[in-house]
Amino acid sequence: MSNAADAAAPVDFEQRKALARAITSIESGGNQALTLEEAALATPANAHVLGITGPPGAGKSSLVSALLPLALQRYSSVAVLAVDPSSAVTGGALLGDRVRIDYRHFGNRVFFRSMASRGHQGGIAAATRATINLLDADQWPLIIIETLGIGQVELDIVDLADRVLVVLNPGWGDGFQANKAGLTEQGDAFALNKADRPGLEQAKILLEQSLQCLPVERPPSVFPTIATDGDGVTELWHDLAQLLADSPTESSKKRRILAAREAARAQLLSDFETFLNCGGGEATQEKSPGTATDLLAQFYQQRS
Amino acid sequence: MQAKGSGDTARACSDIPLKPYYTADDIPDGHAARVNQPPGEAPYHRGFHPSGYRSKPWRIFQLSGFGKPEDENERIKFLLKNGETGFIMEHDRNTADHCYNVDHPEVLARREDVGLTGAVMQSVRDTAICLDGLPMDTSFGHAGGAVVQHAPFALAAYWTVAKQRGYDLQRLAGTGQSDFNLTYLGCVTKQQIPTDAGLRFNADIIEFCTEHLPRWVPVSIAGYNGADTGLTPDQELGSLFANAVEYLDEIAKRDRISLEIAARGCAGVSFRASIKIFEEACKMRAARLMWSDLLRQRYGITDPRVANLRIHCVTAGSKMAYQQPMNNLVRGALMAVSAVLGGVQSLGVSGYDEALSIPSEHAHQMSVRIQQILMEETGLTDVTDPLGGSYYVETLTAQLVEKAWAFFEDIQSRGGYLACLDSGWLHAKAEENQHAEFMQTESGDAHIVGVTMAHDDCSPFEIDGFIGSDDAFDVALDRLKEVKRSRHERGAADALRRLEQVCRGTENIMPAMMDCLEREATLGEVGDVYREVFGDWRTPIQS
Amino acid sequence: MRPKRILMAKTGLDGHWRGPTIVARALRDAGFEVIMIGMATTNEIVAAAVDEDVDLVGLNIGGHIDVALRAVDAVQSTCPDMPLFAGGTIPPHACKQLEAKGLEVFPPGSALTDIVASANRLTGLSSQQ
Repeated sequence: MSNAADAAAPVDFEQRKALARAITSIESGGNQALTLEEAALATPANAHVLGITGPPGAGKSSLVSALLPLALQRYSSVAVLAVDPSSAVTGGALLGDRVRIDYRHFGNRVFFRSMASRGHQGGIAAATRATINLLDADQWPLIIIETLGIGQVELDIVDLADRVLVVLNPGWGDGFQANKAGLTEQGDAFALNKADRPGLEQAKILLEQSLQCLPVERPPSVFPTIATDGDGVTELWHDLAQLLADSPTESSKKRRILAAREAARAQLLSDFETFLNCGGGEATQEKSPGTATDLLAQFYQQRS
Repeated sequence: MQAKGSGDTARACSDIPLKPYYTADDIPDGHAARVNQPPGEAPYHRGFHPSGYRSKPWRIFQLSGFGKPEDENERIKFLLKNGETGFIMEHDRNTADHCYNVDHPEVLARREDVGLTGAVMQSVRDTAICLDGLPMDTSFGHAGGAVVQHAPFALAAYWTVAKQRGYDLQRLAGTGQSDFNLTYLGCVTKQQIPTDAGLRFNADIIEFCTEHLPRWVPVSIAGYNGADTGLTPDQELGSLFANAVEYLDEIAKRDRISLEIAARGCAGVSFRASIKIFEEACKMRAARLMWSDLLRQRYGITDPRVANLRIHCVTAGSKMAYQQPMNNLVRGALMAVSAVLGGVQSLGVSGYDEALSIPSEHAHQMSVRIQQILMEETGLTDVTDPLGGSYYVETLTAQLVEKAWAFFEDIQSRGGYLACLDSGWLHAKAEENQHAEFMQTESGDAHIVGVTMAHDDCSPFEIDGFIGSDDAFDVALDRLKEVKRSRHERGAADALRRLEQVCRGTENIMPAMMDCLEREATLGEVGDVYREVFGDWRTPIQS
Repeated sequence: MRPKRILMAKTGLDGHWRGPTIVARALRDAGFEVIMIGMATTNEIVAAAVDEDVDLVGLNIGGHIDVALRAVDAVQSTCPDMPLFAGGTIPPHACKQLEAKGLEVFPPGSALTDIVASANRLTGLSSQQ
């Protein structure tokens, strides 16, 4: 699998179908998902991953829309993952980001996937990490994740993205709440979108004050934007592009460490099932926890 | 929402509980005093004029058009011959609503759709074909331009043709519509200018008409488009007046023309006439009362020529059923009755084939015939405000007024009508109502003959959808090439450049637009200027 | 079982959103993941159906039937096993043309329960006819 970079070239649907179906498998979970992710992890991590988070209505989609053409001047192609909430009651979801984000002019150069959270907390779906690793292996040089916004700012994205853009509005929260939500520590850049609304200056000052307190050499910048008019978006992108170019390798590997840990956890669970089925079940009956652990250790020794 | 039909659970669509019967005691205090007020006097709920339809019958005014401009011209002539007393030019939605020429990729991808809902008019030459032989000087013409971003172009095209034919614009009567509800709430376009730019356009049109076309109705707020999207009658009223104050406040802020004249320009509105006969008639009465109260209280305007609201009505297209379509003739007639009982000045009846297509010639003719029967045979026109004094009607009118003002205030508290379009609040209200209505139909609580009950599979009047002409796209493309080939290219380019300058500044866009039309700039080129200068409105809905 | 995914698109530029919104909401409430794409060209519909790996494509049709038929042909040629259904202001002659291509068609007045049942059937969640 490898994406094409020419917008004018005819879309290779067979390649895209393979990628799209792999994501569906990952979303379905289970061993197949682990296998797919493990295969993806065999390829070096080259992609830059930009997370975009913020409360509902802050204008995340509009900003993605405005940033996309700029991103495509620097990157040959971009994958967009847009996460929306699933209904807790029915499991259904309305995924509307394709209406809100203008991706259609770029043909092959944009891969767009809408993803329902399927009950996962933290602003992303359970499948988001593995999907990023898969897209990375599929040679998408920039991956943009738009998290869902459900009242509070969701921050699981910081474990997966190289850089996180936090989108707020004038009058949102005020500086106190931004601190409280842990936002100032987690964002790499901040957009105060809908900057034509009242309260911009005050919000900017409060946010910048709390960012100055961070024990870092260069505190994150705050950009007033009006995504719908494109105001301030070029400046914001300039900063993001620089941040992405400088993204430390440790952080870009974090999603891989998490993937490895998850694989290890799955392996352990699987081993434990084997242990129970190979006499461990009977052996641990009516034994104290300490003895049971010893039996498990013996099981591992015998296997190796 | 449907009113349930039985027992003590009956409710009006505006969520007002209905009693089994009414007495004088039900009329709320503060409304009892106006009951005996004659029509033609403030607060005007009883009508425009004491002699009502005796002195001036309503205008038979049908939406019409499809295909090539000459197809539309032919249909308008057919309607006028059959008794229509004004005429409406419909524009092709693909091109007009979006200000695209037919060679735009979005249109090319749907070329067969071109001309399906109105004629393609990309330059003043097309408009001239559509208007060929039509009585622009003696009739009341609707130039189209229902959509805010399209209105300046459509109006300028109509007025340019009028000038070319030697008519005096100072004497020209007619209207456009330039309505926000249509494409910002109801049928949301793929691309259009943001609402603040739209407000500027409408205020510019009002100012321009004040100076150059005093007999023209510059804008016509269409409650219809709110109602047919799902707003209840009280919400239709409240949002319409919330829209009106956006225009008037903008005019007041500019302070270039008299507010009274501007208010007169906003006093021609349209409402939906739906199937609940009494509530709809009460809505028209409530609208007149609210307008005169609004002008007096908010702006200190009491001049009867301004405070007297003039209402155009269209019967509810969404109430026309797909199943057993001939039933729609009855529905159309009854909805028209509600409008006439409400004392409207102008009326269009949707075609019986509304749920299938635009009207066929026969459906159009029947829409005119329905109105003629009501006007000539039924005695509905004999007495002004025949419902006046009915305990029920006076009470329901009063209740609608109160609920509508509450909705108006709700909108004001959220930043006003345009802010509620930008935020999607009005869409959410409409969607909520639609959903409730659908659920009532689905559950069988609401009865629709031929749809949820009284089914039959042997209707002797089966009809199919009307399809207009099949060469609208090809002809439009040829004409677009021809106008670009044969016009004075530098003149057109200069006019477009001038339009762009004006759009970027604050002066009135209409003189520059008139110049564009005279110099044969095309619709898509004007749209390109808009897209460049104003950008795109972010639609707050997901579909 | 994972939720089934449905792509909902409008073939025309007419902008009517009442019908599609109500249908999308009913499908969501029935447990589907509904991907809204709005007014879309044939190429956009096909590309979205592929990228989103949907189980069913729903078309809201408001204009000339040839525009819709072109979208149906393109989806069926790129994704041969993809089921489709359609709703909207579709006159009888056009319903027949869509049905001939294997679509289930829901003109105005159709019950939401029938539309949801069709989605269940077409995505293999139920086999009853």
